[in-house]
Amino acid sequence: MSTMKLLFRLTLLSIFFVMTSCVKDLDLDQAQEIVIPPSVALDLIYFTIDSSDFFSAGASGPLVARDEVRLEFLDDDYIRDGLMRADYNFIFENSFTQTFNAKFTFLSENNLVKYRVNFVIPAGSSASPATIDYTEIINVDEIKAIRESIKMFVEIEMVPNGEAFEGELQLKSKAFYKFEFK
Amino acid sequence: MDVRIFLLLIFLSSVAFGQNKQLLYNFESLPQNLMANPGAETSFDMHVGLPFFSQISVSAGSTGITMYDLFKVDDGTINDRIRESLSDLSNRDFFTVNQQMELIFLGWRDQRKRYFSAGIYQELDAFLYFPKDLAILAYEGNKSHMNKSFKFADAAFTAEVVNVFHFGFTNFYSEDLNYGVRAKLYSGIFNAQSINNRGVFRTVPTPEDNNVYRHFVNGLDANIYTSGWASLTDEDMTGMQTMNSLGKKAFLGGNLGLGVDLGFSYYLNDKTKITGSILDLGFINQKKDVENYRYYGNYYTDGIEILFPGPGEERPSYWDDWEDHLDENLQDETYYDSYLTWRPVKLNASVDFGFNEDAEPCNCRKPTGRRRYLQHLGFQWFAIRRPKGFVHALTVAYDKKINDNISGKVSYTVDSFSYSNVGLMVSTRLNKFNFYLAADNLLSYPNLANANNVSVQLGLQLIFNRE
Repeated sequence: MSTMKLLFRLTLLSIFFVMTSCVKDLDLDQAQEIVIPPSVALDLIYFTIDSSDFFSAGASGPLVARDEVRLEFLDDDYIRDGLMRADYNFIFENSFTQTFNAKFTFLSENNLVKYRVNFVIPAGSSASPATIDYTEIINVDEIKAIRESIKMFVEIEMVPNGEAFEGELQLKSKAFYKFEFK
Repeated sequence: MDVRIFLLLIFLSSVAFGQNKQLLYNFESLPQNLMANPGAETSFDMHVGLPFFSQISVSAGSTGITMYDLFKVDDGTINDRIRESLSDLSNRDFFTVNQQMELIFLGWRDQRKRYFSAGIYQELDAFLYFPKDLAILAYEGNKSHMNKSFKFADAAFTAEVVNVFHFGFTNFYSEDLNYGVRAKLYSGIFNAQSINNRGVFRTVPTPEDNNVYRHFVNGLDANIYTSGWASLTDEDMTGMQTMNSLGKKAFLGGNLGLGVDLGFSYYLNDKTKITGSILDLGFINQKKDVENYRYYGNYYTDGIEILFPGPGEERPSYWDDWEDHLDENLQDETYYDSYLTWRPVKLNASVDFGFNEDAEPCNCRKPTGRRRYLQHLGFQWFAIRRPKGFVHALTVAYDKKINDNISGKVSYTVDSFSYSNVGLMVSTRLNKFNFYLAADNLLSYPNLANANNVSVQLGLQLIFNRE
């Protein structure tokens, strides 16, 4: 057998060897189904305020403390689109003897209201501050509102009860974001 | 980048131990044996490799996971399998690719029985540790991992493309000892590495402090070093300019380095030989086309404190201030300092037993003059240095000279990839023409998807003996 003939046969054998090796019982299309599902726990805002932080809303309106903060955690299309659920947890400790209406309003860049979280902060006292641990769960059917929000407007409205307006109101808050990145 | 693509890259970059050439090692009738042990014996007197085809070697491997583990067809879902894999893989698991191609390789024996060899080969080597902590953080988030320190040190990789110009010789010292040296000049084409990173990210519940949690980044110092990358991404360069630039770098116009291979063969008696080699003991001075990135600092945050400014007072830019504070404390910079890279050193050691003496007269000038055997049984240890330490492999191999034209070798290797690596090599020689083909992990060939690694080496060359 000539050298060339043998080499030719060996080359054929090599090709056969590689061709008969195979990749089987595999479905690479499953790559389309891959979902990255992180759950992220983040601090949000916090404050401690006293009566000096409250101002009258209008000539005869109630005393309120207001502020606005941009929350740009979600300022990215990929992140926003992957957001499936948001849990906002607000923990207030109130040593005022008044109750308060807590209002957290989620706004778009153009200040359109996208979502509201409202609840009542119970009255406490300096000796025994009241605590409320409130969680708002925003599921997938409502999450579009959060995806479209970039700012949070915070309003704390005092409910008068005729007693002296003295004490402190403390907030701690966190967010759980559940994502599904595809 | 799409996270799926990133994950796929991580999981499928299955690419090698590649550097372990257990089938070529101690195979005296092939010149490539000299590249695994410059102190190996040779049973020929001259060789000329077919340019670009004297050795083509490709290997790819991953420890701890295969494509089949992820993409098999069963009742489960791919997301369940990813979750399981995340928990199974450790930060010592790795993915690696190695590819080598000899451009030129030739050798000759002089009158004093010394065998000289020289050549040029191109090599690509990439090695990535599974970044376990960062993968968990990206995949699961921090919510279920309070107080856990996610380590940036888990991110570690090296990647390089080099051209190697080499010249070596093997010489007999006595009837017992044969030794060899190979000098190497490295011409670096591309390098990227990120090793020895430091720092942790941690989320700690802090009910007594300002807010519910405190998020920490402590002691971050992460560097990515690159050479040959900036010009590749230079948008002002045309395709032709890029090709010219790569060509120059490949032929001594880039980052240069020096290295050496050392090796020996020692006969305890006619039948028993021990060998050892150390390969790529060398470095490259990366000083051209360098662009490095550093991320460093310490930072913690409790979130954003809001201050309720009074009527007429300016509202602070809370978010911008928070970001500024973050940027002041966690900084990044691009710098252009040269750096030194060490080539991945390889170690080989073996003991080899010959039997069934080859009584045919030999035309070659086998230097030590020891008896020759038709069959050998050998045990070989291989190790390669990677950023987190040496990676090892143990091989038992049997080789046989079937006739003057055909020799073969079969091997069984235990390594980080598997305990079922069976390899086979066939080398044929007709007149002066030699062709060899070596492949390992043969048991995986019925379904390559289930292989942790695969490597193939083949080559064509002319081999001469003195008549």
